[in-house]
Amino acid sequence: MNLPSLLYPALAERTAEPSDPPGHFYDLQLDRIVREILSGHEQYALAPLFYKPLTGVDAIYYRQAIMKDMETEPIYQLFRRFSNQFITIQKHLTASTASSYPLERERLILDAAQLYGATLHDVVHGLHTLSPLSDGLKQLHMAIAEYLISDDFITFEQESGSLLAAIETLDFRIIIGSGSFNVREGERESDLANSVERVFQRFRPTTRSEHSIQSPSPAPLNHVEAKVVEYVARLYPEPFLQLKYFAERHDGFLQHSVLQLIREIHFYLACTDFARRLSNLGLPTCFPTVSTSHTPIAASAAYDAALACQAIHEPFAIVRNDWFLSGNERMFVVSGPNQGGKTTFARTFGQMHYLATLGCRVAGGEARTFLFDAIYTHFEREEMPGSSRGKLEDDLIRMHDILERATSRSIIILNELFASTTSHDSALLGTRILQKLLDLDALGVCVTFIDELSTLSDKTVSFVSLVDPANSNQRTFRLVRKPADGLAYALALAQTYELTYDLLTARLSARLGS
Amino acid sequence: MNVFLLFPDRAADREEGLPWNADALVRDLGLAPVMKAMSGDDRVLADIVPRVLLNGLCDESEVLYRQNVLRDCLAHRKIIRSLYSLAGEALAAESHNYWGVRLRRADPIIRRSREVLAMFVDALESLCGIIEPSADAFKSDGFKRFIERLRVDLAPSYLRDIREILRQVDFRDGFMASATLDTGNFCDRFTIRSYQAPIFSWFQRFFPPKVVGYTYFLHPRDESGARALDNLRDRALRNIADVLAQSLAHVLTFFSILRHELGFYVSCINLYERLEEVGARTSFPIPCPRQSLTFQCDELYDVSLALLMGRSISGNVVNASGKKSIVVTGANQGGKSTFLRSVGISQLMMASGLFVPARTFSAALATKVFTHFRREEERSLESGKLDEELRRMNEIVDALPTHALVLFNESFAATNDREGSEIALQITEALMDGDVRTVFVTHLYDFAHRLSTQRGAETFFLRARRRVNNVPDFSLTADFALPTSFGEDLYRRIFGSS
Repeated sequence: MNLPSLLYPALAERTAEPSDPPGHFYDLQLDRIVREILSGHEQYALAPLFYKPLTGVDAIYYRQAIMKDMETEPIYQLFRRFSNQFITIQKHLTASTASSYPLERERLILDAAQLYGATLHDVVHGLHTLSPLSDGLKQLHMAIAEYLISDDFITFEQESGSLLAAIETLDFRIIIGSGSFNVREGERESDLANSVERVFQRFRPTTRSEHSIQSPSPAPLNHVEAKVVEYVARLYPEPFLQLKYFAERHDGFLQHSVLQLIREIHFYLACTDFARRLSNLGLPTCFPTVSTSHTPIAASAAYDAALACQAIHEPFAIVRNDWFLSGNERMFVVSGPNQGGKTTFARTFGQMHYLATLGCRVAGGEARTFLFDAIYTHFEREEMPGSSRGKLEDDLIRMHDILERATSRSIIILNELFASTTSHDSALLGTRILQKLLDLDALGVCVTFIDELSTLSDKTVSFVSLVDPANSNQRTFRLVRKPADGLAYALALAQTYELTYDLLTARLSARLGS
Repeated sequence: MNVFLLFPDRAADREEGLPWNADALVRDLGLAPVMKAMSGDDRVLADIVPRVLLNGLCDESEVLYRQNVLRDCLAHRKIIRSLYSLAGEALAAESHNYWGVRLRRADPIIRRSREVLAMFVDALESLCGIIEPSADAFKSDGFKRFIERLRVDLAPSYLRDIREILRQVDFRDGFMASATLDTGNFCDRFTIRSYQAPIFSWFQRFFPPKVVGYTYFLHPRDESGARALDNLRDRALRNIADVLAQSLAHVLTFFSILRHELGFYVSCINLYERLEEVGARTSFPIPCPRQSLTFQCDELYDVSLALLMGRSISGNVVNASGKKSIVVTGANQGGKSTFLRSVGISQLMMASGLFVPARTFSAALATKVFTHFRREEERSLESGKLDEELRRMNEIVDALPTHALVLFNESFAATNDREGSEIALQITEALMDGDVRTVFVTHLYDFAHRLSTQRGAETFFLRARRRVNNVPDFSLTADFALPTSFGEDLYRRIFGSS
């Protein structure tokens, strides 16, 4: 079966997935984000996909379109089910290989085969009724549908279906005594559980609360169970002969392309799950518009996705920021008090651009991002013990490396540049470096305590952090701390609780309407 | 098998929790003595009483249905109490048999279900025995139907059927099952079939008499085989064990609903007898439709206070029908809060089908009752206090259905008269226009005055009288608010007059 890739459009060039993340990964805390995204999907080895940003706008929108489809609940459920069924299929095949009883081994191949067919039908039927809009899923739908009408598949499916029906409807009895059992053909003995239910029927409450016992998941047969099957096969030899024949011919029906597909699907499921976890915290995410021109770029209600990952486990309030760069503007110069969210902003900016090039949703209400060729970060690091170079020297060497490689299409994020030296030096060096970046025409963020940097040229935009602007309690206080007489104060308080006549009447009539 | 003694058309929801403002209701209305008198030392009743009392009915016909059942109960107290204790004993014996966790193995589940069901059959027999001799004396729809069901559903022939089936589900000597070969040819989906196990003798094991099918005998030393067979046996019996456990659960449910529903009436009998002792009068109220704005009472008193003082106390006569709001002003310790509590308690008692502490009482049912009482003990900055009161009001509004009743006690007085009045007025007017009834005890003169000028036709004013000669006079007179509430009097009395 030939299946299209859900990760890359048909004509896109494909390079191997790198095994290591890009250098900026840890500075931007993308490792935490990726770990959170992949939680629950670990067995599909998806991490390398996140090390490989896409280089074309078309490829990004190809993924975004599939992601949008996947996010609709029925399609999401369809592929969840699809993936779960494949887990079962593989479980059957593994168990089959491990089994020492031929009747068990052969039957597991039949079970896997039957489920495989049903699963493919299910997904084609699902895609047919749900009509996804993305090219990727449309192509997938076509490819599987074509396979389903191939002669090979039709024969395969008919055989497995009728064989399974024959075995499952065998009517036999087991009599279990102490130390012995007997297997025989069934007659018309009545169902005792039904009789019990009938007798106690009148006590059944009108509201039913059923708790039925789950069947145990089939464990490998033990020798007693194998003996039972053997006796059943002796009573009814014909279907078991056919089973043997079927298993011989169809061992190994599962193709690599299908396994590849499952992995790709999990990329989308994982991202969708992640967006839902954020949305459960009340945090917005969006599909960014990705542009090849430097400006305009913008974001609203953007936040640090790595912090949000932490909040998923222990909720706390997340600060959101709005930003934009237009015209000639290239560089945010962020200054202001410590603990004011400056580093968070720098990370947020980088994360958003990176995640956008993976075709993922980004952490914000709305976003327009730049299609970069590389992201370079310079975050303060611990001094390496034993290094002969001083910290300042080390910083300068790293900066030099970055400037060597960066192009006008790069994103550069500098956090607390040259904090280890005197303010005079750092102002001087900072100005020089920043000037170079501006000459390069790269896009980026520069977090600094040197105020002069913010007015270096018309390409810089000054950002000043305020202390905790998102604290809602404080906002309430501000609302009421205006100079006014006492009456206004009390009424303002009533107003915050929506208890003035007008607000309360509106609330009460809204209740009536609902 | 429905009990349907609390509701004409459904069983009581035994899982139903308390309303979110239960604590506030109990505390503000002083319900503890009433609930204590109802439940006595019975833990089961202590659990039932608040849930029935605080989750009142809002349909008159349901209230009347309960009132009639309660009249029957008051007429046959002894029978009701013995039925209640029978249900309690059956359940207690069950919990004695119950091993807590969901049992994993089928055999013990089957054994336990057989034992407990056998015991329940005996209890069902006694149930019919207790009620049958006086069956014709019950007059209410609820009881007439319940007795009819007992006659039909628990006829002697049916009890015999139960005992017969319990005999059949004894699998100690073996059983026959059908099964399906599931995934991996794993035997599953067992169905136990009617079958009489033949007894194989030692001799027949070696020379079996015409054995059908294929038989496998485990080697005596095949221990893993014995475990495997035991496991197969267990899986085969799971379904029927489950069916038995469910049947047991259903019979159990019947007994616990019976205990729950009878329990409430037993608690009503308890309260009735306690008030008889005290000499406090009660009567069955006339519930009116929610939208009717009826409120009329004669000698309405605070039942908690009567229970605490152990004597009958005088009450109030009020006819505020047609008014959306009652505003109570007047002297401190003039009985304002007492009146407010008596209104709240009576509304709750009426809504749960109980008699009320009054000579006559007729009122619109409230969808829900809310209290917004000034919390004296919460001392903080003035602004913080007003904030707290408004936050509580906000919570109430969030939960406020139409035709609810909100009782205010000195609300919004945490600020000055002018501010507090403004807030109180806006809230009260909005509630009036949103079909919510209110009773407002207040010192806010400005509020009372403006309400009388702007909403005079919709508001009923009551004034607590000043104490005369230091004798409490809890009665209220229909009157308009006076500008002071005699705080000065109180001050003078406590600090000594000059």
